[in-house]
Amino acid sequence: MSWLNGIRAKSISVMLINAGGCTGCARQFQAALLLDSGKGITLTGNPRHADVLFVAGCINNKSADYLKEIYNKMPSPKAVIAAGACACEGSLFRSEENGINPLEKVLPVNTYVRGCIPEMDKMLEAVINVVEDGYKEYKDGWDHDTELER
Amino acid sequence: MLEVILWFIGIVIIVPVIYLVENLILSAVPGQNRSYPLQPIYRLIKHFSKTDYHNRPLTRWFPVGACLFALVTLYFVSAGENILLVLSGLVMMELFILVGACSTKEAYGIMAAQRGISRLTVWSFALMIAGASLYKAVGTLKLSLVVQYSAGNVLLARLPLVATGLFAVAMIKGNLGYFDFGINANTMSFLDTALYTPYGGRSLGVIQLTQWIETGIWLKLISYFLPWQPWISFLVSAVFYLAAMLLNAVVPKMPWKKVMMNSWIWAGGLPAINYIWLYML
Repeated sequence: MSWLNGIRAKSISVMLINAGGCTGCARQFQAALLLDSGKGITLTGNPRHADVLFVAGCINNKSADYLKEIYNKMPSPKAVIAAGACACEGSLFRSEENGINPLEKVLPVNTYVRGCIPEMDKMLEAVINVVEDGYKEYKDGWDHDTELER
Repeated sequence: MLEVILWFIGIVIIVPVIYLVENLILSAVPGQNRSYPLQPIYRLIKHFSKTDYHNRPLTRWFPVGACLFALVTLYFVSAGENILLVLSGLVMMELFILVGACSTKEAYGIMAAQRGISRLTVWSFALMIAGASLYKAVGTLKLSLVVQYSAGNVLLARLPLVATGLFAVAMIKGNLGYFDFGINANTMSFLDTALYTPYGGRSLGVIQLTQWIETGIWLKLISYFLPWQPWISFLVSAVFYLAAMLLNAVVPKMPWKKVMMNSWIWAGGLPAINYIWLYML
């Protein structure tokens, strides 16, 4: 229903997770929320209230467990966004032998925002588009209603 | 009867308007997030359009029970019934929310319930003292008779601390300023076990509605102490509440034990002092 997605896109609660790294992406996103193009987007610290899980930073085996726990607590429909080079592909750290994963190996990712650091407007655009498009899943075979095992 | 229905509908409409005005003003303040004028309504619709996942299916029915009790209590307070009926309805409403939180069997749900119980002790004590003070001052517990008394005599002059205490209770129930018992974290860190409210999706939508109705109940209760016409008194209490909501945006959050201490001093202590003062006079 497009009208419902339109309403959802006017009140988006984002749970921002910085899973490691330099925290630049997370801070960029927080700053972006003060722009007019971020109208209607609010940050929440509560997965039960969240519509979008916005993950920045590099993800290791320990943080992957926490991410799955948070993801499971979010009510459907929900979306996951990987922001920044670290979350998208491991970036500088991918050759390290300490369990660094791209986010798509841990959670079903809807959208990627690439760059180090990504542009503010691109981040906001990704959040709004993913909700307006009705939380379409990026990869076949993932189901947002299925609970992930830790 | 028509007047009661008008009050009921009026309160149900006015409270969301307070939230819309707050949203509109905060959106215009520099340094705050931009938002749409109807964002609180959009948020409510969004909550109702989401699923209601819980590991225990009964959990989703507790907010519905709480909402029903809030509606019944709103009728009591609109009709000017006995204040003890209002107290009973509010306690039942709160208990439904607390049992729902406990029934999730999750650590953060139980923690939310524990804080809710500590909050319940404060505001139920404040409301009981307010009832006793009203009986001492007016000679009745029926709110419709209190209105008649308030029109001829300045009730606020006899019970100023009780009215202040009830306003503090309204702030406690709205999680405002130094009375915020909420456990919603704003931190980006997730390295501790999540300690969050157990309600999400449709349950959260029902809880949101319940909270709006409850805010109306408290504003109406406070308006009984004000000396003007009932509608004007209600609007005055609504404006004060709006001011408290706006101040909430600039007031830092406190550890919950300090919040508890503040609550006992303002909501428990002030009405008790007023009650003792009435006896001494």
